Amino acid sequence: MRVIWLWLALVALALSITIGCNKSPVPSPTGITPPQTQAVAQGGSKVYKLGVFSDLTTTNLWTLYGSGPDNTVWNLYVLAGGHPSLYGYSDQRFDWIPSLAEGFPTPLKEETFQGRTVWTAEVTLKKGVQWSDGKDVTGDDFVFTAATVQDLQLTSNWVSIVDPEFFDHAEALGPHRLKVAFKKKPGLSIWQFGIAFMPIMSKAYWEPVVAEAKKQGDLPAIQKALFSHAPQNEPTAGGFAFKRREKGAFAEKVKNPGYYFAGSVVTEYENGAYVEAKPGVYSFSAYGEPSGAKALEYTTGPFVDGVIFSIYGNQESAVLALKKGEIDFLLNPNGVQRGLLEQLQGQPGIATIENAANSYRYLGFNFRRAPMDQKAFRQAVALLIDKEFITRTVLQGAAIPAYGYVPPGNVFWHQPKIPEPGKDLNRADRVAQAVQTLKAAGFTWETEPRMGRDGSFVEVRGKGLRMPNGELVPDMELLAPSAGYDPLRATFAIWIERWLSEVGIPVRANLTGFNVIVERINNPNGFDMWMLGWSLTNYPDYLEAFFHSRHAVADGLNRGGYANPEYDRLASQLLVETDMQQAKQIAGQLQLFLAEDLPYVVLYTSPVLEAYRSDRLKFPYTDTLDGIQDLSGMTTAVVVE
Amino acid sequence: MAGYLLRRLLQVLVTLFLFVTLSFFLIQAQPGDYSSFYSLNPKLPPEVQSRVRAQFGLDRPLGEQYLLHLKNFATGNFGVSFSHYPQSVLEVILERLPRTAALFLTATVVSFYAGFFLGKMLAWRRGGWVEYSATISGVALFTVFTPWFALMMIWLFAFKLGWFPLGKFLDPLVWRNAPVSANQVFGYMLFTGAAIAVILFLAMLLLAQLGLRRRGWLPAAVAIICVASAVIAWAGSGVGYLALDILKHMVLPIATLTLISFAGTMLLTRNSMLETLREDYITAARAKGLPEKVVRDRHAARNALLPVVTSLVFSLAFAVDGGVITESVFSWPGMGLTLLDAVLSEDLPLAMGALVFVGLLALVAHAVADVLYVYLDPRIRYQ
Amino acid sequence: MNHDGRPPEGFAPAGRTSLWAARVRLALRSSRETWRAFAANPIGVVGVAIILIFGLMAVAHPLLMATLWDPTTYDPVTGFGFDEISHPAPPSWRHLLGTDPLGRDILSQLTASTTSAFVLGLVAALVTVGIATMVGALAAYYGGVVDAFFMRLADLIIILPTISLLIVLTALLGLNLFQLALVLGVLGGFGGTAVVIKSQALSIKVKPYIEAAQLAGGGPWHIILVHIVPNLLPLSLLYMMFTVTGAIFSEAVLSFFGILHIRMSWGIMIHTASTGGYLLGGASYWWLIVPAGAAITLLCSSFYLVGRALDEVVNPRLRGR
Repeated sequence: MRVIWLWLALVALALSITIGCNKSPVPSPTGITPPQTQAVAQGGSKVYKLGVFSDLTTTNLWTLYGSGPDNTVWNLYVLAGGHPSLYGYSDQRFDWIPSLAEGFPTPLKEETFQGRTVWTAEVTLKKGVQWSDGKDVTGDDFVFTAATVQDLQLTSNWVSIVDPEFFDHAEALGPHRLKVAFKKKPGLSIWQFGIAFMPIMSKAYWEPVVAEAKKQGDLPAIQKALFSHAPQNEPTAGGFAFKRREKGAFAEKVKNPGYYFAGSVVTEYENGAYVEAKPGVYSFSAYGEPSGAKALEYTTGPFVDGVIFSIYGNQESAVLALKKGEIDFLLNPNGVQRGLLEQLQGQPGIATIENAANSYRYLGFNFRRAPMDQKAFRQAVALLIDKEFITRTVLQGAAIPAYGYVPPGNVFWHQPKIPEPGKDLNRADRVAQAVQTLKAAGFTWETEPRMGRDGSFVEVRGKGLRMPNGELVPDMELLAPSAGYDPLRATFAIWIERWLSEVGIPVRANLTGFNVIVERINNPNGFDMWMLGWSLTNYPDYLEAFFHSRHAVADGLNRGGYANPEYDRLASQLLVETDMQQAKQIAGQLQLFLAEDLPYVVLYTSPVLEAYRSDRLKFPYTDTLDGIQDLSGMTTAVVVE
Repeated sequence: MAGYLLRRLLQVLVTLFLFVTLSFFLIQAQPGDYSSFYSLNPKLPPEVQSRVRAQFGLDRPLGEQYLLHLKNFATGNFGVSFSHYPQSVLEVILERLPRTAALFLTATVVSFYAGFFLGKMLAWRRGGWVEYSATISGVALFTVFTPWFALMMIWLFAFKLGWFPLGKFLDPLVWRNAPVSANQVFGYMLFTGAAIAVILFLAMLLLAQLGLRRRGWLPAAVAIICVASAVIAWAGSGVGYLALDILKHMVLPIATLTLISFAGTMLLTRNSMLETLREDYITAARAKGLPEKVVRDRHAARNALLPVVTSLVFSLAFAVDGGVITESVFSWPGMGLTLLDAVLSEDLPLAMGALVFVGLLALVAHAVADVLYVYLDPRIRYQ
Repeated sequence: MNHDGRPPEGFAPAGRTSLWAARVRLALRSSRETWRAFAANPIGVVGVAIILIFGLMAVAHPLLMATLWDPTTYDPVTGFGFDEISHPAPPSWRHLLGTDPLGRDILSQLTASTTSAFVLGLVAALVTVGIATMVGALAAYYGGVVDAFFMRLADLIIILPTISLLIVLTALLGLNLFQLALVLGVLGGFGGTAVVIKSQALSIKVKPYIEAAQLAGGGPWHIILVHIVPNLLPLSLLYMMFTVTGAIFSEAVLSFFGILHIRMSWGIMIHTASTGGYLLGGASYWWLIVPAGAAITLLCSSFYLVGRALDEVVNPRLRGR
């Protein structure tokens, strides 16, 4: 019985603390504000409450971009916007526009520096932009950041921002004039979409930290010391400063009263012109004459005093929290699931949004094995896959069929002339065309597939398919994620297995873990076909990274081993092109190449579905590639009631 | 008694050794080997990979690796977490531990007490509709599909009725300007619980020595004084409102865990009581004309408790399992959620570390239950 | 005991056969009594009834697929309800329990998963009982180091949280249904069941006929296999029931978290509903959750109830769990 007393006592403790604390806001001797006062103090402040699904793993931007594992979207959501960059993207259209820079840079120029040839460009910075510690944001901050990446040989994302193969050095020609020098002529991805987008760190804050880290001796130790630093009151030049983090529960940012861009007005015209101005401070205009109808106009904030990122363990409770008004918006790279969205639609005070994602899922072929190396075979497979049927009928619009190698939502770079093989064909025509394609290339059957009378299904299955060289088509394996990991891809794989088997192509879908697939396709000769997906960047230099034959090595991104010298030549050209329009031309050609050669069959892209409290929030716009989550919730532009 | 304890301690040590060995074989048993997960993980910088290889002696013979494994285990070196690099596995786990401990110690205690109480009642009213309905609903809750059940609890009590918060362990608006971190508050809370338990235990021992335990009001008074002083201390500390906020968030997960796990204890207590009730001394007590309540609570229940206490260990493991599920549904970032997240994000060192830690905790609990058993079982005491 | 002295080699099978025949007769006779005692307990009868209903469902699926159900529409994994306008569709005459978010028939999934639940449960239970009986018998017979080793191992497995362990194991090994059944069976066999069976074996070991067999020169293996193990079987049968419960429950939870490589199961059905975001639909999407959820709970509890009822009949001295 004594034991029971112990239990009872513990329960009583819990109860009495509850009761006791409810009744008595005992004035605290330690001088800490009792709860009641606190609630009042917060009553007047406007807080933008965001829901997220994973904890921060770092608040250090060096770590976020420097150590692969910390490069999570969750960290980015919180840290986004705190560090200025020279240039950025415009709203909705993704035009390349100045941010910290005053205007566009000078054209690239060849010159000699310390006896070697370098390519340089100069940039003038806006005057009056300040860190939250009161110091000016100057060229020195930029030089410091780039030099640190170079010195410490930071890897991961930093390498793609400051490419050591190209970047030579940067120098401040004055507090607000900057020169960036490259070892060789840099392409768009290196300069305009590379280092010009680099987040600039405060030299005043970070210089001592880096100096301290450098005492560690060897590089790995120095990097680790820098990555392990947890910033305290790091100056920000963004709309918010990081304030507090309660591990496992929430993170909070508070308004930066000295935000330079606060009050500036962004105007986009339907004719393509872009205007950004803050009366009496600065004004910028580009991409045509600002006239005619306006497509977008809004004023920059922040209009809230703080942003809270609340962590939820699962979608369901986060959606309940949104319904209940505990949070205003849910940040999730995948958006909200359809079933949950249906429950949110029509709820009072909640609005839902749908945007296309900048991503696709694809079926890849291993070119090192027959018959995947035959163009006719790949084309036949593409013809047999009825994406419209699966996405519309089976998946109920949970996916959007995709054909291009650059998603259509990426308006500037997408090739609109891309062919769409098999689109809207019925099954009989698909089978007929696929059989025709294969036969024309010399494939033969023992028994040819034959359609049933109504033409909707294969009555006689194909048997004994032989390749042009007379060999039987071997049994092939299609590696795809299991339904547990991704039901959409699993569904696609099962249907593909069925359609290919019907015409006599012996394929078995192996639904397995994501990591198993990644490991299998890492071995060049250990797989046939696979199904995975890519999340893409705005600038499509991935056309080179995915398909240039120099990446067809272990750990390279060209897992299928696609190799076409002509494609390689063009793709390399894309990397060095410095002119925006020329680059667009090349990217368009590359996309046509791929549509013909089909190293991937691009299958579908998924829409990003989102929901927010429309009774509390007003966004300047909601149509944008990848959704509002991609803008980290538009903290500096959203208006909270 | 000391001999018995010593023997049990030795057994626990053997179990621990087996556990370490088992974990080594688990790591070895996977296709490829553990090292490939470490060394081939593209997320991990190459220099870290080489250091990790050295640390785990991955190129050396199996025997040497095993010894190294033992050493790493003893020094708490579980490696570097992939998903929290550069934090070590141990750091991540130590951050999550207090949250889990607070939730699960309370939940285990509550569900154990509820199960014991109900089991006692069942044994007393055998064969009636009460027994059948309690057994069936108990078993149904025991086997109900927990994730869904937990979600329904949130939906009903937190969303529809609005009595409790929707998961999480604190309310950000309350904690925005908190002077301490949540883990500190958890620490204080655990300390309070432990302090009260120890003081009460000692007080009871003292009362028993003085022969005053029979007076029902005395232990109650001691308990009330203990608890009251704890409450006053909290109220005066200035962080009482934070503890209160955490407690509010604990109610629903604890209720859920209790509902899904009390049945085990309940059924065991019932059986154990039935067995005890057949003993001669119960008949003797009844013959003496003692009231039924006294026979039940003083004579039967105390002896029936013995096997039930042993099962506390079982229920602890069950609670941890329930924890994986409840934590993920209630957004409670403790060990269970860590384990699941680690597995879902392929962070194997963290997953192994969490498992090892959970296992260690269970072993410690096992040992504690043994000591408790000694205290309860007169046969061992007077050996 | 009808054979005194070690029979000549050639006659050993015959001797054993007659012994086993006698055992079977005895078992049949006692099973009739057992059933009478068992039938007196309504809880156990309810359990058996539920199991039988599920058994019928498992049998029904292949029959229906062969006759009434066209695989294009009703295949539990690749089927698709073309006749419905949108999915998940509520119950209708064509789809008695509606369809899931991917347009597949819920009733077909439910019945198909019943088979796998039984397979999983039975494989796990047989492995458990096989191992536990041998371990229990060996530990009881030899005692000493063998006993200490197996019992400490059992301790360890008992105190390790199963689901957590399985989650890590799936991460390390990537389990499918059959491997999961094996793992669960091995864990059960070396765990709690072994302890209970050992204590029973201890009480058999001291029975006079064991001593007689030893005196008659029976080797350890002979005694364990012929005299101890058969007497452990009723108790083993009882523990099979509890293993089945644990196995089905574990599979459902792991599938729900989406970490098993299985094409269809009750857990996967709930996982599909969950990833589609229909878990909170409450009454509006009940057919996505209730059938699978109820099936898990019902089959788990029925085996558990049968186990408990058997516990009281077969072995009143034992306090199961």
